[in-house]
Amino acid sequence: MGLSLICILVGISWLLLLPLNEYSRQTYISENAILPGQVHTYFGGSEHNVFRAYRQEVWSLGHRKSEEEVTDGLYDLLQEIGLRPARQPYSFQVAGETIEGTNVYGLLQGPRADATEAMVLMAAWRNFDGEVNYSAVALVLTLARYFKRWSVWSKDILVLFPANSTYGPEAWVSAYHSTSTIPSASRNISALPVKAGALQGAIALDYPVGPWGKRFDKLDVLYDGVNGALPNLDLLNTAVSVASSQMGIGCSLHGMIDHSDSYQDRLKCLAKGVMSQAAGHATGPHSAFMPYHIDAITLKTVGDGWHDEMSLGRVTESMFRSINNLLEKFHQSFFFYILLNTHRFVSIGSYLPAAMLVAGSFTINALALWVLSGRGPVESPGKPKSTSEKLKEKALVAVNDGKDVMLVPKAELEVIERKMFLPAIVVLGVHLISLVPLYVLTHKEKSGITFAFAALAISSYLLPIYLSGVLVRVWDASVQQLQMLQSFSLLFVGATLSTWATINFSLALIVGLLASPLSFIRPITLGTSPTEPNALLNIVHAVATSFVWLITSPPLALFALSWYLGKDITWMLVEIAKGWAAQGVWSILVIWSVWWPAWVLGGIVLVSSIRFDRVPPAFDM
Amino acid sequence: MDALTHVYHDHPKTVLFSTAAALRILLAVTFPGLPDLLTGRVEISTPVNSFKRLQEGLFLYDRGLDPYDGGIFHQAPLLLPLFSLLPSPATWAGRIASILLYTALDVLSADCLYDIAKSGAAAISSLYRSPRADRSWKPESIIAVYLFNPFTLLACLGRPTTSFTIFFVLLSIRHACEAKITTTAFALAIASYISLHPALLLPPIGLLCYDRLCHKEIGANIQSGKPGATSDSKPSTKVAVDQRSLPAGLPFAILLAVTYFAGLAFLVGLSRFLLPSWNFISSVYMTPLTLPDLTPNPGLWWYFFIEMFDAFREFFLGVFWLHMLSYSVPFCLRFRKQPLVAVVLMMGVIAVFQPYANVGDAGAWLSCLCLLGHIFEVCSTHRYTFPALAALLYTSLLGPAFHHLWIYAGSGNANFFYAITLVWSLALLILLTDMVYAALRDEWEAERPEGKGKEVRQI
Repeated sequence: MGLSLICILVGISWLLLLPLNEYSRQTYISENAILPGQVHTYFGGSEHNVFRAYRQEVWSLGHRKSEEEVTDGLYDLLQEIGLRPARQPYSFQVAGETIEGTNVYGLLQGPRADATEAMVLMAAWRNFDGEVNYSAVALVLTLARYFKRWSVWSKDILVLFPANSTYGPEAWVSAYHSTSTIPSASRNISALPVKAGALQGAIALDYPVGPWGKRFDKLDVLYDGVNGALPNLDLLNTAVSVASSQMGIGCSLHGMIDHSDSYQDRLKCLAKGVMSQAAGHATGPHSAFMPYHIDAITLKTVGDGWHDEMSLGRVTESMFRSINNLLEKFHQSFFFYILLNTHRFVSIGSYLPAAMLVAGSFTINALALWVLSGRGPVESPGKPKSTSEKLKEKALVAVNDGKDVMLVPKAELEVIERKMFLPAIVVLGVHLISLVPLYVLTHKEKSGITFAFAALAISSYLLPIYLSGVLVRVWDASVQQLQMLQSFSLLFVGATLSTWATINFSLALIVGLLASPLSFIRPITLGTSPTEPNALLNIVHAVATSFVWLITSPPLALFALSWYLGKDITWMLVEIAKGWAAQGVWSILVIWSVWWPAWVLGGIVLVSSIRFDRVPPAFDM
Repeated sequence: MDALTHVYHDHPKTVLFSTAAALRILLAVTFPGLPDLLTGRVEISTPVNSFKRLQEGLFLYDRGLDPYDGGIFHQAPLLLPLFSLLPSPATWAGRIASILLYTALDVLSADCLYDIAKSGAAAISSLYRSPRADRSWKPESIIAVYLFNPFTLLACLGRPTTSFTIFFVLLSIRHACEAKITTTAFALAIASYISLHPALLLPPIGLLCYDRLCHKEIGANIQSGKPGATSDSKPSTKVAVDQRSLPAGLPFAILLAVTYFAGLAFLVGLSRFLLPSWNFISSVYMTPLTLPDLTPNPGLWWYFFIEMFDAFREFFLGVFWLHMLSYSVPFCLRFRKQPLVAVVLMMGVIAVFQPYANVGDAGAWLSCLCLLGHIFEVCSTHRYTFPALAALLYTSLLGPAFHHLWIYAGSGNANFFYAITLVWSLALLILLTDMVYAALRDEWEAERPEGKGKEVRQI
């Protein structure tokens, strides 16, 4: 138990060490072929007039009445440029809501391309905050017209205008890989009429400014994918190095414009990165590409400065030239990293031990409880200890430990036979029950979702008390069986979280930290005689564990998250349901099917010794 | 609740079989995508047992072409006429039909396991009676472990053809326990015909069959010759037996071998009768021997042979196969007194070291370990059992995750998955060596009861 506490503490302090120079590294371009910023960019001059014209055109499209006119307008513009245009309608049915729209895209066939590889340039019609993305759409159109005249492209370029920042790209990229062409109850995505080769990279622009223009200060690079997948670090480094070294535009992460590179700011950047990775939801149009192993980022203009749309255009041009240079997919650099600022990162070898230590603490405790459960004599929870004390006095065995001879009670040495059936069944049963909240919260209509959540929260607290009563009274579970129950539950949590740490480090870390008190839960022993030497300690431990158990519960954590985000709980629940059904986000599964059962089982153990039906044992002695 | 337990006590087998069958069918019906998903998993389907590859072979066979021409199909030819009777598994009915077939196989295997356990061959042989014989697991518990083992469940839904091998191996062991020579040999011949490596089980299963024959003979002698001896409820191991009255070893071995090879020859001949050429011999039997297909699997071979320079390939194939071969006879010699232990341990060696390992075999072996339930208490003093089982849990979660990172996410590489297969095999081997220790310790304690509970020291 002490060891697992150390594990958790070391894990946390490990995280706090990461922002230091000794534990992080300067970013660098790993792939030689990229050559960022080595080409002269020619986007400028008269292209600016073209851009202004397109911006006016897009502005007027934005004031048409129906969505259909918008898609028709974009379609015509792409056709006029000389691209092969196409449309893709899609609709998702989630939580009683319908999300629908039409993606418009065009194919620019690279003059030197053999149609086996392609890059994506996109601007969502509405950006992630729901504003109409006028300047970005106009800039993409200008760039498409400009790219069309170049002869250097050795990969095709797909110019994509998703209707929406989250679900449009999701529909498009899944149709591109033909993964969900059969319509189901929750999604109806039509197939793409025009396709090119394997996608090598995708860049999204976010610049929601109308025809009057607005100069920006920095480019915010958004990189989190669905389920915490990250793009190859080389792509991110390319964006940063092209923007800052070639064009002199500063970059930022997670909207931290004034990052002073101090320890606090680095830690803040790390925390924001971990939080957004753990949530696993889309953070921009690029996010949908990551599960398909396509490296993608979004460049978002932030702040008030002196860079104009042409600088953004030149950055995009230079990045496309770099991706165009690639001979194989991005693979050289890191896929697992945490960024501290735009030029410093922590690689997987340095940060993974933190999550593994936290997950390991569960396994250590499981082993300890397993050993403990093999020690006799068999007791039923909440009974006085006196019987065992007497037993101990009777049989003493001499144990030779080197030269010393110890007298150890015989009962402590013998391994008793473990009755594993009941604990195994209960652990399995609670894990199966956990599918109920998962199903309810992902399939309920929006109107009833808050009520369902409240009902689930209350029954989550009542279930352990009820189950523990049934276990102890009806099925006569012994102390050893309860220890085995906790051991199995902790073992499973440990194994699942360390598995998850390899897929989504941040989620495993956060759930691991929230669930870590479960390792230290022991049955509350009410009514131990006050004369016992560590009675006070027992009471403190009992009060502390039950308090911690009460506040670190999955429903309460979700509620706290909505409070922290400053959003309505209904909004958050609907977003989670949408994430599950339309984006394929797994975070909610980890919360309800890994953490929740462990928490319930912990609660069963916690209250198992409290017996309401009899006088506390201290008095009947 | 009471009624349920009552029914269970009256008809344990019926209850277990019907629940297991219902669970499998329910899983297949409620999650229609699950069987096909599992069929594609490398942990379950290998080049020599994949259900998908069987479909490819069936397609060619149904059109009158040589199914082995494509170079994809490496499974026994007689499976083809069997599966061509079923509707195509692409349809709903075909999927359910195939699941029903595999469920039936599982139930039949469990039935064999039940009879093996019931025969008591694990703890009592003609030469030996374990001091822990009364601690054997109940046959019902053993088949429950087999039927509800997650690995067996996954294998049933993933439908690899090695399920047939497992069934025929268990059938052969069951007949060996009943001391039926010809059926033992023929069942083992079918198993070897389907996937070659059960041939390694011929010595231990032969030994088991011979031992049961002796046991039967002794039992008959005691009953007929010495009526007083039967009242002695615990015949000790030291019962003097007239060696001459026991069945002779050599004629027995010859009969077993002749039946086995005749069965094998008959099956191969029948296959040739169905197919246009002898191509199938090289395709079915040379594939596990020469390992042309290096699709990843939970075994230890594929990564090693990916890394290897071609010049050393033949040499290391020889080394690996010699290693596999080197267990069969020594196990028989050392576990002469406990032949079923030798059989189970050899099954374990095959499950871990075979070239195209899969979790179905491992799951079946883990369930068979419960036949030796009486010596588990000796294992657990060894303290490795729980960590080994925990490692199995860890690897069965991490394996698919690392495979995903390697193949789909592209952020991992082959080393990730290989590392996990190493841990998986290590955990299985710890269980295996632990059982070797337990069986030997049990034998030793029978000789020297005063050594019970003492620690082992090297002197």
